[in-house]
Amino acid sequence: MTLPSDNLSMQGRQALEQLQQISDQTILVKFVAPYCPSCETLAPVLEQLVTDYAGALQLVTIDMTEEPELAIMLAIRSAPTVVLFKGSTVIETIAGLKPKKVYREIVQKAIG
Amino acid sequence: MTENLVIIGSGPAGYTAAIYAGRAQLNPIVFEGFSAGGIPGGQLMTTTEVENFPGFAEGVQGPELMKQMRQQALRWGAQCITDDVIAVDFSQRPFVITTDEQSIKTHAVIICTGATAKRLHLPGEELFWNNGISACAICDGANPLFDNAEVAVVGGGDSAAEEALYLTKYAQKVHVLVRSDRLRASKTMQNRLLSHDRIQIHWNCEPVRVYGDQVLRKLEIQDIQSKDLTELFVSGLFYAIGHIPNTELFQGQLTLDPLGYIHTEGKSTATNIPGIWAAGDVQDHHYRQAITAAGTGCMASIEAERWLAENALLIESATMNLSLV
Ligand SMILES: Cc1cc2nc3c(=O)[nH]c(=O)nc-3n(C[C@H](O)[C@H](O)[C@H](O)COP(=O)(O)OP(=O)(O)OC[C@H]3O[C@@H](n4cnc5c(N)ncnc54)[C@H](O)[C@@H]3O)c2cc1C
Repeated sequence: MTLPSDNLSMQGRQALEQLQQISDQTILVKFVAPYCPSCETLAPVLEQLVTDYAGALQLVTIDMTEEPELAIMLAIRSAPTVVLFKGSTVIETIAGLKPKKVYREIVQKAIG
Repeated sequence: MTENLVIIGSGPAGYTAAIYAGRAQLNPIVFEGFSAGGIPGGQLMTTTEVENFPGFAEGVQGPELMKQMRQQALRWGAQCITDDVIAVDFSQRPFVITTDEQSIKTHAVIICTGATAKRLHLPGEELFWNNGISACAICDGANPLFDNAEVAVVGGGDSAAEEALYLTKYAQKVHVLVRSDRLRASKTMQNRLLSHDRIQIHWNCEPVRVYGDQVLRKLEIQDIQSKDLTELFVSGLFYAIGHIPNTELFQGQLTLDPLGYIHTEGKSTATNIPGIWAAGDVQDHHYRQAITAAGTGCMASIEAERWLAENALLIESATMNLSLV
């Protein structure tokens, strides 16, 4: 899996936990796997959202094989799975690749 | 503005059509797909080694092959848009192709939407689709939840055998559910399956219902003859029961064969509507190979170019090659 070279997306569980400590931020977490072509397909769509909602939305990418406990806790079975957090609360989970607008809709709903 | 040619789909058929159309200066637009009917790059994105595509003596990884095809299409001026086509209107000319974000008018269309894995749509399946139930072991097998767990594969052909063997890398035990009393897989694959100590084959049975809470926990399987029900505790269920053509978009507008594949005329890739061609798995349930998909993609492109020229519809992009140097 090639990870984005810019800093639109942070990596790993630690980054997520740090963000969750700051405030009630809206955070998109993208769970990926080592072999996941559709994770790459999804990447630019989420990066566009982060650009469009600059400051209001954070993106964290987590490899579920590196964070098995978190993956199990959140019942992640498929890559990509996108989990939208408000702080530490899960607002929405999207398993598998869905039409682009679905990702925009959940973010719009959460941020308004 | 009206385009010369829109290509729908980005498997071997779509990219090959795009390479030929690009070189013929048709300036093709390719809708690569996003989440409908597979992913950009098509079915080969879901496999590892491709051993039978000519030109790769040592084999090639499916995604790498598709990346190369895409690069080649881009190099010849194809415009690739990573989005799903959600509607087509073939009742008017020029034709209209619609996505969530735009509508495009075009004189010609090549359909290369391929095929997707079949599902059983069992009671409970919707809840656990992508959450324990999957049609791609290679994509979803490497998951911490399957480590040392038991999983099931449905099917008796080569792809079922391949998936089951692949899953033994992660799961502690793999159950293979076969509807009849024999495997359709090749002899080599059969031997590998039957001799594997962590693969158990269940003959004459099929899953009838799935259960779980947050995640998949259990299958109910039924013996086809006795109708007896038994339970199988698995955390993953993988379908390898064949493919269906992605032709939903075209129903009622193009002639399909009884199995739902697009009907093409004789030895050509022409559909029943002049100006529309179909290539690859979407019109072929017989060969279903990357090379035949590519071959028919090439045919479709050449046929489209001739038709556009004969009907004086061609808008050549003379400047295009200059901008590419
Ligand atoms: C696991 C596996 C292993 C395989 N191994 C081999 C092998 O080793 N050798 C071999 O020759 N063949 C192999 N095949 C078969 C081969 O992959 C197919 O024959 C080939 O990919 C067909 O190409 P295609 O271009 O017709 O369609 P596909 O590859 O199915 O691509 C279809 C394309 O259409 C797009 N699409 C669908 N609907 C829409 C829509 N509404 N809007 C826009 N785009 C859309 C999809 O995103 C996709 O890009 C394998 C298949 C599988 C599943």
